[in-house]
Amino acid sequence: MTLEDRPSRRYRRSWITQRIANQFAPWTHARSCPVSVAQQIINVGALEIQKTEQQLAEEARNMHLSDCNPLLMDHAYSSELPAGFSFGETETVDGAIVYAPPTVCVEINDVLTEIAIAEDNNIETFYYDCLPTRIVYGDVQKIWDDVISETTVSEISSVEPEELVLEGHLYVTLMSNTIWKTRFKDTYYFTKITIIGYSRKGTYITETLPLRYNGTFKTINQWSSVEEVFVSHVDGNAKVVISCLPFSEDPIVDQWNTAVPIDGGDRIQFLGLEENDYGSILVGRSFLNADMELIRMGLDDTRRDYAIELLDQDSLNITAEAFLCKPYSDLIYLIDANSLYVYDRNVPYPELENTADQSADVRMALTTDDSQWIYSRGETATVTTRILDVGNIPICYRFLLYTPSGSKYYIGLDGSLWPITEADGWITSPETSWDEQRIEISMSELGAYTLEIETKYKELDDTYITRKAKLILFVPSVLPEVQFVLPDELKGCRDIKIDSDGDLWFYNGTSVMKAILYHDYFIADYAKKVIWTREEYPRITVEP
Amino acid sequence: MSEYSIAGISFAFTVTSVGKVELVPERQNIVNRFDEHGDLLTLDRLPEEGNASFRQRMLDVTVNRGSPTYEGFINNLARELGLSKFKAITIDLVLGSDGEPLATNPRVDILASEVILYKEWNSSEDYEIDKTINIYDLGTDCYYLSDLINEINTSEYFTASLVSGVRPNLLSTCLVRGNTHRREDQEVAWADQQTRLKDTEWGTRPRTHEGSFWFSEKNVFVTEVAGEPENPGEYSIDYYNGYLVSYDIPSGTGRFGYTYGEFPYTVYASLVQLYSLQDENFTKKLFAQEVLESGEEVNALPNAEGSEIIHQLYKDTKVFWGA
Repeated sequence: MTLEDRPSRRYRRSWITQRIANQFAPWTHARSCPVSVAQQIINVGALEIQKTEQQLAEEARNMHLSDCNPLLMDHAYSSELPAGFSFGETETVDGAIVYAPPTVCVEINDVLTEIAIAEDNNIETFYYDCLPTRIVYGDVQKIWDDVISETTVSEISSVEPEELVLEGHLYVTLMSNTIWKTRFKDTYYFTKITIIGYSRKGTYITETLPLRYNGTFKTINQWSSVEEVFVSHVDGNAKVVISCLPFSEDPIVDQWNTAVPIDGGDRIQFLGLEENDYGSILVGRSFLNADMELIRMGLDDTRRDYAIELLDQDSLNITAEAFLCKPYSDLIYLIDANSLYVYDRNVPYPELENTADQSADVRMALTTDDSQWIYSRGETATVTTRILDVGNIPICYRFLLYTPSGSKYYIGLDGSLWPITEADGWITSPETSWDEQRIEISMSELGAYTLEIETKYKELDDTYITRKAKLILFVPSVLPEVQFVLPDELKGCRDIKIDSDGDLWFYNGTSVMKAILYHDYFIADYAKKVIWTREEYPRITVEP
Repeated sequence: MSEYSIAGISFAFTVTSVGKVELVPERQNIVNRFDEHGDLLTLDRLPEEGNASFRQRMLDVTVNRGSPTYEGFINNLARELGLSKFKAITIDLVLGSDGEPLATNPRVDILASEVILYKEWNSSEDYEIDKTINIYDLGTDCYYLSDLINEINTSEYFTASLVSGVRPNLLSTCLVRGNTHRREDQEVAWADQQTRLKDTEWGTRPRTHEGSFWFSEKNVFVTEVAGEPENPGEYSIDYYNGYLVSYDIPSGTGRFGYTYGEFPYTVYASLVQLYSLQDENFTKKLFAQEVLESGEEVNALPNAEGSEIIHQLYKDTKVFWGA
């Protein structure tokens, strides 16, 4: 796969686009249609703002030592080329003569293997954005035990905390709680959990964690042992799990991928895996309420924002076991029984080619319920017409559907698909008043469906004009950036997670096993004649 | 402007063009935000040290603080070298059938060259040593931790065990020096006949030293008795369970103090160890010991090891020995 083919290198929609578009009036097409021309223009700048916001958020966290990103670049390997070495040259498409990347081979397991230059030959792609190239079993296995396995709150005082399998942050999962606030005299007490024990630096500490909704929460401190746990102001039937790795969580998508609905109000977004008739789908969910005060009071229902069908390199559906969000990145690592896949977790951008000949001054628009535009395969979309100029009723109209596979059909009001040649698909409208039309479209293919309504009007000078309005309905799917067959020791695992030190662990139900991801790339310093590699090799060869 | 400036000299090199080359990559540290945090704490990243390990050492700065004391030096030096101290052995008391320790006033001293187990410790000359264990000399049985533990376990009064994960063949001299002797002098005798000693509240098991108590309310605590106090001025102490019982009721403001032994005693080890030439226990190993007519034992000429150390010190530091 060349770099240009990487799914994440394709264009994407920024979540900031909708936030900016929400400055428009609620009834505007620019606000309500995620692929409107206005939003397409906004998206270009929004992507830059998103990148800046992401970097600011990362840097803000790095201000604090205990939260500083352990995956920051801390080393690289340099190989100084001899004085007589000169790089080759190549001509770019615009005629400039530039250095040609050398051929670099490295010794891996006694075999010289050629490695690729980091994309754009820069540090960001060399270290932070690059994809793994190998996975090996780290030869470390630990018997797994939760610090406190699933226990009802009423029994938690009698449970002895287990030893920590991995030192670091703890993850507290609260389930089935219904009480979020208790009033005693003039004071409100909120749901919380208190952990007492030794921190990783050896101090005896107490940490109280406010529990805001049924979900997983991470401690601020890193721990080496837990001596006592107690919960306050919680439903006695609620359940609690405390673990060194968040196996029972739906991960929160980091703050730079917040859900922004059309009606405004940024929401916390969660990612999860679900199964449909075809295979695994990556589902983005967010709270129904934007107000965290309401969520804290127990109104913590979520709704599905999108579902992305997960495919392998051969575009076949996969049945995934588990995934994790790579910290400080848009990538997710996902496993099935035999393979590790790396995906970009963002919703892919739909193909908009069929919207090109949309009329500028439409008098009729198409909408869906709740302005939904992302669907799963097999779902049915209900599309409604919306007349924009009630003084001008079309004399006839027709629906045209472009399917992702390239077919075109006229659509009858009953949803039947007519071949394009059949009677031009025109439907005569009533003469006096316009009733909004609803049609249902069953989406059986992956990709973007374009629905067009073409309306014909008789003008005052007895001429006829037609107008075309279009709507995108999208069934997203994503191909892996890269996929590997797992080492035998790591096959058949049911979960993967990254610990507080940035190490990757596979969980097989009874124990966790360490895995090491390698990133075999180099960058070339053409001026100083140095080749930098990320991994350690006993020797490398460089050829112009 | 230099008087001897050189101008107009040119050099010419001919470099043969090189094709394929084979190289050995060299690891380089890359400065990142962790190094900036390290600058604030004046702690440098070690060569080839990763972020996680460096962060751990930085967090250690506020826990095992550096200072000009013996332990402060160890903390600081060990941290700077990436060799932080760790828990090595635990020493506890042997209990009798009545549940009380067999030793009445036990104490353990970890010294530069010896471990001393006191059965009956007393600040005066009137003490009774259970065992003195040489841990310094290679030829001795307790040069390694596992042997030291075995030796302690032969004691009638003390027992020892290795903390899990510690190498049994670690040198015994790696133990961080210290003792079990603790002093508490700010306790308040509450307005009640029975006062529980502070350190027994959380289930720890100090062995308070008999005869070490002093009281500010001398009219309430006059005579110590073995059983239940029955006359004014009498009091009794449960040295093991940590109770003080008096016949008279204290005012609630009177303070008292005592010394006790911290058991179980967890001894740390450090791969960085400091020796002081002021340390009598250490200098005994560097000098031949001579008994004076008065019976006093003093240092005579340096022995082979002492000569070597003195020679090294003399070589590396520009000071005069004995000056």
